[in-house]
Amino acid sequence: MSSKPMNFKGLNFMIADSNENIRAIMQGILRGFGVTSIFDAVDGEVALRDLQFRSVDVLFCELNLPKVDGFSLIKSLRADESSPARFIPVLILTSHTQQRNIEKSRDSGANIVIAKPLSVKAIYDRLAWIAEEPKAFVQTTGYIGPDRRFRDDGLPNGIGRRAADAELDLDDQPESAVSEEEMEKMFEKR
Amino acid sequence: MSDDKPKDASAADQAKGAPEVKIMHVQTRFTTMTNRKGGMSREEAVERAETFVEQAVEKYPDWVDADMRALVAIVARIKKEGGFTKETYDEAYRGAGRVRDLGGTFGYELTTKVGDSLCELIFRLAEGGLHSQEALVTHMNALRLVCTPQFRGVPAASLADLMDSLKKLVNKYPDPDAELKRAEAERRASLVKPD
Repeated sequence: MSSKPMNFKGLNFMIADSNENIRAIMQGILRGFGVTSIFDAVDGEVALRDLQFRSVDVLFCELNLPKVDGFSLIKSLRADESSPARFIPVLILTSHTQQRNIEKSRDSGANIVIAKPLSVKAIYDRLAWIAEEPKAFVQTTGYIGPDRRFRDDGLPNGIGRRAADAELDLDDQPESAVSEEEMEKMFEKR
Repeated sequence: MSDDKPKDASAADQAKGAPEVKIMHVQTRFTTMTNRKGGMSREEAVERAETFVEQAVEKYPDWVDADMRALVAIVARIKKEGGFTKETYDEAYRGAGRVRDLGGTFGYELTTKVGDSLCELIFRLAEGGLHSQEALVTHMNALRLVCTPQFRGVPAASLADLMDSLKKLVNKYPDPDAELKRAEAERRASLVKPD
């Protein structure tokens, strides 16, 4: 784990999620980390609009947002050369961990996907990872977003599969959603 | 932020004209500011945040009750309409996810498991153009049972029979992502370097 202190004061976070309870929990978690400024967006339309005129430094985004879904939101953000938030870190927090959704998330320009339920440690470690290992931005005809080429050694500082995810192991579930470890691999080298 | 400007566009690519790939090295405010002095250690930050989550547990029964009512209403609508529409698919999946996520966040492992299974069932049915009210109702009954406070902290293994039944129920329906999963597995296998 990263032992380096992180200073979130003065940074503006946005949480785009239609679930008011999840927004409330995320607010509490982020404030626990020392975040002092948090904006809410109840749907993708509101998020896109607010990203135009608010100073936002980090976006947490659900995939299944009403009006404008998370994929479209991120793609629009990354493609808009006039947007002040074009290059901000985008973390997807989602329950929708089907293979197709993770692939679309990766290709939409998100920095990382975190599976719900919310885990305090997972959220902190991924923020630390983005802060400590910033990626170049890549723009091609089909993709605008963080460089998706990772090294073979996975996430730094021991960040990896959450201990709690062992309980979510899919071995005893229907062959369903993608585990967090698999998600991270999908965000790795293409 | 307005000061997040690309600092190093790929000059070599630009020189060639009409670059296919542009690489930008961007110093964001996030990176700059998180590394300032005066920050909080991981240990302290995590402890503060987990304390908040623990204190919020008392709100869980009211929250989950409201979410379950909404989910019941959607399942009833699916029955009335004889299957999923785009709208009821989105709402049902979102609703099941809400219950699942709340439960998981607050230490209800069984709620996470059963909610996960319900999400997968909805996905398979709706994407496959299928409908089984019986499978939905079975999952709803299981979810109603395990999201109650006495199941907080109870491991999923303690209700292995229930989980096994739900798994079998879901696996009756084909996985719409099967082909994608095969392709992804092949992609990963192709990346393995020989020793």
